[in-house]
Amino acid sequence: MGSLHENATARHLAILRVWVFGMWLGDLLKDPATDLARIPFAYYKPVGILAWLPTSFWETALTEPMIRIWWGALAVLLVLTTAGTPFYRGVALLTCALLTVYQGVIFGFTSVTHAPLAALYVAWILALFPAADALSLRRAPGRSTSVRVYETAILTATVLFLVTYMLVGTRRLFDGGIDIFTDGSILRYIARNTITPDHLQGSAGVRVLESPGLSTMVEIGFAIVTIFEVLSPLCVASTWFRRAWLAVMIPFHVLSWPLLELLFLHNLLLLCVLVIDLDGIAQRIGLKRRLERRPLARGA
Amino acid sequence: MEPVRLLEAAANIAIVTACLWPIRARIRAVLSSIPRSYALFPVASVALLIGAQATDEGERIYPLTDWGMYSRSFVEDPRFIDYEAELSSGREEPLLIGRLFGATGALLRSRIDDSARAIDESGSVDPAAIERLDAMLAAIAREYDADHPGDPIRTIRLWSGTVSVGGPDRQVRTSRRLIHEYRAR
Repeated sequence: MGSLHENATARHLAILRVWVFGMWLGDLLKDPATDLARIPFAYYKPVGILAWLPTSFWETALTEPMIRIWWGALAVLLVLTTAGTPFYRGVALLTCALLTVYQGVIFGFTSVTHAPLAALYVAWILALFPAADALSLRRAPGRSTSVRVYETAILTATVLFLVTYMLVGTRRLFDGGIDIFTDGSILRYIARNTITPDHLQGSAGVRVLESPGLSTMVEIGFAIVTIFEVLSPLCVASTWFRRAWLAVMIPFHVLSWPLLELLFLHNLLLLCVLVIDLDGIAQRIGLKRRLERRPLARGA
Repeated sequence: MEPVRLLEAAANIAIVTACLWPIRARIRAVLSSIPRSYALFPVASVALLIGAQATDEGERIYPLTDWGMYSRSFVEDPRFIDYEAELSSGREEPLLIGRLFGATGALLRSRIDDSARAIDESGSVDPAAIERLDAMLAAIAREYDADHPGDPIRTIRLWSGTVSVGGPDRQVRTSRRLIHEYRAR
């Protein structure tokens, strides 16, 4: 059995930090969030811990000038965290707290969706662990007491990411039973989500529903995806399962956009660094030896 | 907590344990060689996710949540709300809300759908519900007009529809009826 992220170093964890916080920065920059101030406040229902704050707070916080301020603050914090700023842990924790509020505010106007949550949890892990011990702006990056702390951090992020898939799969089995795979439910979900497509004109979902062959394939695929979801944590321990998982999950994520109007971009990006054994691939093609001969950056 | 949720939590713990069993020696070695504060995070974070799932509380426990997704049998015909704009020029076109409000747009639509359905299903003329929906439709019209100043929105029509799926001829059929009309000022 091939185990994932074995012997991960400070540099591996730092690359994950740059990837994840960079991803969040890109997410923030493409959406200035000031649109939120133009949605009637009556549509805002604070979710979870955000409901602890009084309505008067939100009435002030969700005005356009205030949104600009906290959006700017979050952008600066994300740049600092991505770059591995001095006082990394404090800054990264503050970044994650603000990121949680930012995402929570969007959910307050819509509803909690799963798409960005795994990326949010991985960000928190990177803030709690010493993810700026390499590739960082710090003059003398610290060194953790044990090199295995870095391995623990990446392993924790990976297991957590995979557990979110497992939870989706087990919930489907517990609530939907076997019937959900045989009664055409997935076809009706496709019909519901794509009949009035906002982003994808042409409704690929409807074309699938009208083809008996494609409909059957989608129903079989739904069952296969669920089995792989349930067994997701096995990716950490088994190379062959990991390869099979990727062969199922990447097409599933890509197809869920036209078929279900769901784009799991965060998960696709996370999957590239957490589940694909990039280190092993680099080693096999000899890239790693070449990189190791070249000093990368201060503190690396 | 419902017994089925406890059973589900037990299954989740068993699956994680079984999947990670082949690398138990590695996990033990890693956890015993790092400071205890760090060793707590992996265990606590997985326990938090599984615990949150068991509460079945959804968005009330954000940033945690439960992970139900396409998990219930869906046997009735799916319903949808259609938004149609009549412009000042007289032209009619589908109103794509997902494109009007940045990242929130596509998700915002489901909340507006809920407001529209509330009016449709109750069949009532609850003035507060209609006022709330009209406030949202006014915001949508403003966003649209800002992008299309030459041909602003005159009226937004909301249609409630049903999709029939899986008939013998495999044709997807839709039917719809007008449930609300908003006239922009």
